[in-house]
Amino acid sequence: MQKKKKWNPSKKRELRAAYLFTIPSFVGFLVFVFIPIIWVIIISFQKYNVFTTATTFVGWDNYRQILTNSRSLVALKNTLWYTVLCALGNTGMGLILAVLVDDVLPHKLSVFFRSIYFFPSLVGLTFVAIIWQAFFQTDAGVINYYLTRIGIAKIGWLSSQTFSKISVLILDIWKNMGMSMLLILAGLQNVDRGIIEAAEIDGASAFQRFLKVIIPLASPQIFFVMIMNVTGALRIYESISVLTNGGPGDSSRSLVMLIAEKGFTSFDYGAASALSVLLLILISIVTFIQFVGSRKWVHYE
Amino acid sequence: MNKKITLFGKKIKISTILLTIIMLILAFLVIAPFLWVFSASLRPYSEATSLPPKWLPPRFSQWNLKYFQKLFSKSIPFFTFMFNSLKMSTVITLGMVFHGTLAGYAYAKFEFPGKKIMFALMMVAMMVPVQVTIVALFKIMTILKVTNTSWAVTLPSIFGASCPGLAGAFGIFMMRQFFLSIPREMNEAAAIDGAGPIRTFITIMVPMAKSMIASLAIIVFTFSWNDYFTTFIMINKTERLSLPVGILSIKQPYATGDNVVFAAVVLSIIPVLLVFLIGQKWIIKSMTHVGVKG
Repeated sequence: MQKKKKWNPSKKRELRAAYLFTIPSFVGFLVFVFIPIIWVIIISFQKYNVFTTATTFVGWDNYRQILTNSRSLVALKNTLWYTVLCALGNTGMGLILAVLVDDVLPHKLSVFFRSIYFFPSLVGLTFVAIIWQAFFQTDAGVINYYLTRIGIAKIGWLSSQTFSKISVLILDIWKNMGMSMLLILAGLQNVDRGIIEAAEIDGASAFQRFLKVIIPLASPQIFFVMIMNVTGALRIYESISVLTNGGPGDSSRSLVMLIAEKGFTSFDYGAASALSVLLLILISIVTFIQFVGSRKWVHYE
Repeated sequence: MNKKITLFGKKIKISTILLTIIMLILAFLVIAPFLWVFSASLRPYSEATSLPPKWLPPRFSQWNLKYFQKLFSKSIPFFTFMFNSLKMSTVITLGMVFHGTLAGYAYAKFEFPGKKIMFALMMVAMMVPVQVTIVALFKIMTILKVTNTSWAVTLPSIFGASCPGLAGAFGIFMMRQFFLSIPREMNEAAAIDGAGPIRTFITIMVPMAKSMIASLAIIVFTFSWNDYFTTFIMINKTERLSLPVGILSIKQPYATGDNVVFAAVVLSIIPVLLVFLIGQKWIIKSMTHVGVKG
């Protein structure tokens, strides 16, 4: 039975089918994903001359340039700011919403609220950013209107260096918390009901049950959602581009905005690629944390 | 908090009522921008932007359709954008569903040399978003001579670039998860009946995966409909832009004294709303599925 297994005709047919099925996607993957990753790393060590269209190898020059350039350092700082706050905000709001819609109310009502909270996640960021831009206007904006009604002075949401990032953050959380809710909810619903009921019988209050039982049990899922939000926030772009276009000054500019600007406005491919590699490193760190984290949690399940 | 009051002839906990009120307020905050833009698109400019904000549209007899009519006029290429978006999203969806189903099945059911390394490579690269590779991707498109055409967007997107955070192998991953859940006996039974692997796939497996394929199609279509970045970088001709990028070009010339852009936003969101209302169960189920297994 064992011998010559590789050569029996049905195995051969399977092999042929296997490669027939996987080659199209793998070739596409190589050309449009894998090779670009390698190539970006190569370009980051080159200098491109717009006039002569010649490329020369320049070693670490591009990296030295971006790491000493105040604009890219500001963009890096802003990106980390967005990453931490968007990830915490989205995951936190997602968790709160998930608990609220986890069948505390009658099932139909819960499903109704789930759909509403989730809907913004499906709508294109540019479309909703146009609406929020109107909301954030200093004099004609809806938000400042309600703030002045309760006695708070008008805020330059898009025109002040302090608030430009906060406006982007608000839009991001409003847009993405529903997705986090949905994913955390899936984790909560996988939690064994029996354990929660046992805690209830033992006299744990709703808040205690939430903090001591539900959160620890759903923590692998919450961790996954957090990672997803971190990687999402690292490439933040559209919302800033519509709301503030990076300004005022560079106060809300992100790494990806700078990549697009360097690469496709000033055609400094080398610097743009070095910034891309910087982003790649950040994403790799997060991916590594996810890998280690999910391994750790496998034992608990 | 466990006190009960009688409402509509039913005993209801006070905490339930409080919770419902909180959730209604949150729900209003979530849908307020949509209400506002719908209301604003139907009012004359001065009225739409005046304060206090008008959350509800005017009475039907007073609807101001001027801005919607403008979108139909030749001066704004809104429907060109919409057609481009429709075309690009359809191509991306068909492409990804096609290769995703094939490869997902192969990675789930076949044993072949190189399987592990191919799959692992794709899963790792899945974490790298298109924003990282865009400079090189642009060069590849220049070599393929497709910059400024929709191919520059659809080709990379078919292989996952437009699905946020899941570059590379989104469709493959999702379909593989599904086919893994089909018991092996199914394949063995088909093999005993004399069906080859390709026939088994087409006549037995694809029909079983129908609802999963539909979910994948809905997700990919929605993401590519909304995609901004790839189109923004790759296409530099107004008449070839997709909706999310094109809509910003409507915005600029009409920034003052005109809310035609709000009408454009309304028309851009409506297809997503329809897809959501029709396919909501599928969408929510498959999003969660990907999330849990991811």
